[in-house]
Amino acid sequence: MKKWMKWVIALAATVVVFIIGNTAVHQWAPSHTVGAPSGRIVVPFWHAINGPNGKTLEAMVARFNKSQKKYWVESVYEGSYSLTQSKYINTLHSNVSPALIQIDQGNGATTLGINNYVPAQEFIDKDGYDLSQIYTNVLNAYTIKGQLLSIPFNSSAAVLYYNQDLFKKYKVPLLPQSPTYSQIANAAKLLTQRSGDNVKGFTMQIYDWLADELVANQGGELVNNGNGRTAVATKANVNTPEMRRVFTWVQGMIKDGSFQNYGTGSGASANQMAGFVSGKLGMFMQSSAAMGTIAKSAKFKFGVTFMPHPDGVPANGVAIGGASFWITKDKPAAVRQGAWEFAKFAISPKEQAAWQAATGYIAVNKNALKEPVLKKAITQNPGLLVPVAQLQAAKNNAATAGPFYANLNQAAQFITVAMQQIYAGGDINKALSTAQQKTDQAIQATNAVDYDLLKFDHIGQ
Amino acid sequence: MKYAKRTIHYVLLILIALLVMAPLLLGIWASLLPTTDIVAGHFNSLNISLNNYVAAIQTTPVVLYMWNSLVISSLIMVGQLIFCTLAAYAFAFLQFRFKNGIFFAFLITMMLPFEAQIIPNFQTVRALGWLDSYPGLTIPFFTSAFGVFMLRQAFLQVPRELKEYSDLIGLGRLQFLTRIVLPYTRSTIITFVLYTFLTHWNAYLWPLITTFSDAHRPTQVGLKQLQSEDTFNNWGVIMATAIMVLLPTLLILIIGQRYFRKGLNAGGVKG
Repeated sequence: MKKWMKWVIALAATVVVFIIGNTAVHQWAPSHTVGAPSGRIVVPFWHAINGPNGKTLEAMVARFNKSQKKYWVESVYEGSYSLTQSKYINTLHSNVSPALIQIDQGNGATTLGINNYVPAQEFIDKDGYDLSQIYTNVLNAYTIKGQLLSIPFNSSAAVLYYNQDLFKKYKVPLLPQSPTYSQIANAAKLLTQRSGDNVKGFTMQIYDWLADELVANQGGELVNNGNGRTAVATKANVNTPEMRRVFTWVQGMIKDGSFQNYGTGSGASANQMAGFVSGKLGMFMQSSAAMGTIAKSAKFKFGVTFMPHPDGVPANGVAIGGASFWITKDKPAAVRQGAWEFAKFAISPKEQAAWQAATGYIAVNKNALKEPVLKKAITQNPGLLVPVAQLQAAKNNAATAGPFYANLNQAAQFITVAMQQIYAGGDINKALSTAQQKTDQAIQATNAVDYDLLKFDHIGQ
Repeated sequence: MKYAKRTIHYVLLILIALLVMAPLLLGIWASLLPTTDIVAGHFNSLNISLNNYVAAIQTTPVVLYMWNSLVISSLIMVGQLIFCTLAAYAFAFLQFRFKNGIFFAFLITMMLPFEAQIIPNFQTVRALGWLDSYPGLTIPFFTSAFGVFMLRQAFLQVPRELKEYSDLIGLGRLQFLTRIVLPYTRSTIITFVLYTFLTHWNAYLWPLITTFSDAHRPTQVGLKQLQSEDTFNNWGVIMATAIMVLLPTLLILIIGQRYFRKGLNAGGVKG
């Protein structure tokens, strides 16, 4: 009997310790999610932005929650874009699924195919929201058959960064706003030679998106059927004159030794950033969203230009990268409305201005440029205007709207492999035609199974 | 001569130990450096401090993650201890029909990797509404074929005479289990419990797909969350959290080392 009591006491003590510990830890430990006060309609919001930018986004959510008394947005970081998307698919119609989700462009076509969304257009029409304040080029990226599917939020475009101090030190002429391939190659060569190989002139990370952007800048589309926007894509455009021009240019620089290959993956992107920041690399191309980091860590004056274009091919402008907010269908109407209210808040001039100033993503709202926060940031770092200017200068066509197809992430791997082969000195034509063939096969395999899901006949009817 | 040989052995052993430990030592060193030095590759910098650890505790949910892991691993540990000992007891001491057949079926599930069971498990947990909760993270692991197997082997070594003796003095089955079998096989039980704890402290795949908020996220998934995809990584803080997450594992290994050796060998040699 006595022993029995001892066990009960031990068990009770454990339970008490658990409850106290659990409450204490959940209350005290810094967490990305803050519990909702009672009486609010909770809007679960999943996003894929982490690090300093994630903190900026959370601050935005906190401002929204404070700004009104009806809704409470519960933001949760769910990992990379692809992971967020697959978690979304796994939890469809379950008790933990989100009402608002941030989906990148690569996963747009599948998100459309899952068909668990309310088109943003519906809320815009109902609200009479004035879309003219959002950049047309940004809207195009998320518009299919004239219907805006999701709300553009974090938009970035690739730009070229260069170390102006190095250029001056080695007496290399500074780059114009929209440089050509030969200007880049020339500058890279001069930097490398005049520094006695201490500085490498240029790099292009083995990252399919950069190749895609360079193709878009020549007006090239990456898949048929208007970049997959008039109908489901059935064929890829990988082995094209546009792609070949990009890699001929790159191989030229590899051959004359002015190119530094940092490899592929997130390590490569960190290494090229480190190389640039420490003054060992003259120029590189990266998302405009990297500008905040560069501005913080570079101890020299850096310049920002448009993405380069081949000599003799006019710059068409690049596609908008980044992600948008999708409102999901499987939630009660009040929650969906809350999701839209937050999305509307997030793309307001004030919030977008703060967003661009803090992160380097391009404000999607034209009026953001009038906000004092952004004005001040631009005076401090005029480079912030370059991606905006690039966006404004871009033509409105399917190339700048960007590719829209379900195999985009798969194709990315094939292009990555092709880039590795080309960087190692392989034949451009052969590498690209293999990538072309594999991408075509992937598209056909997907279409054979999922065509009915992916086709977007339901839009605009 | 003898000493020379021994010296060579030790020098070699130390070299190999250093080689094997290098990533860990580098990690510990990096966790003390400011991120700017890490990114710039200045590993010989002497700017060491505990700032990263302070920042990790103050700005990241690492404490929450570690608490979640502690809760999850402990619950699973207790659950497995109860269910596996009971099952192992049945296989070791009871006589019933199809005993061997059922035991064989148990062993088959041991061959089936957990990854293969993920989809049905996920569907079940989802249907029960247990996603992103402690039950969903623990209950699917409350028993393991390996545990049953390991404990059965240990129980088989309990001398028959003890069973007969306990019958004579009138101990019930549960009493026999708790008063005689468990103390007798103590080192196997401790190994098993620590091993279970470590396995689930290091669990990655299942928590990755079933947790959706910091409230229930355990350490390994949490660690991955600290790394961002396309923005700047604060490597110093990430390394500091990694070392913090590692500490319990190391402690358990150091404390439990002698049991691990004994316990894992216990079932192997039938004496």
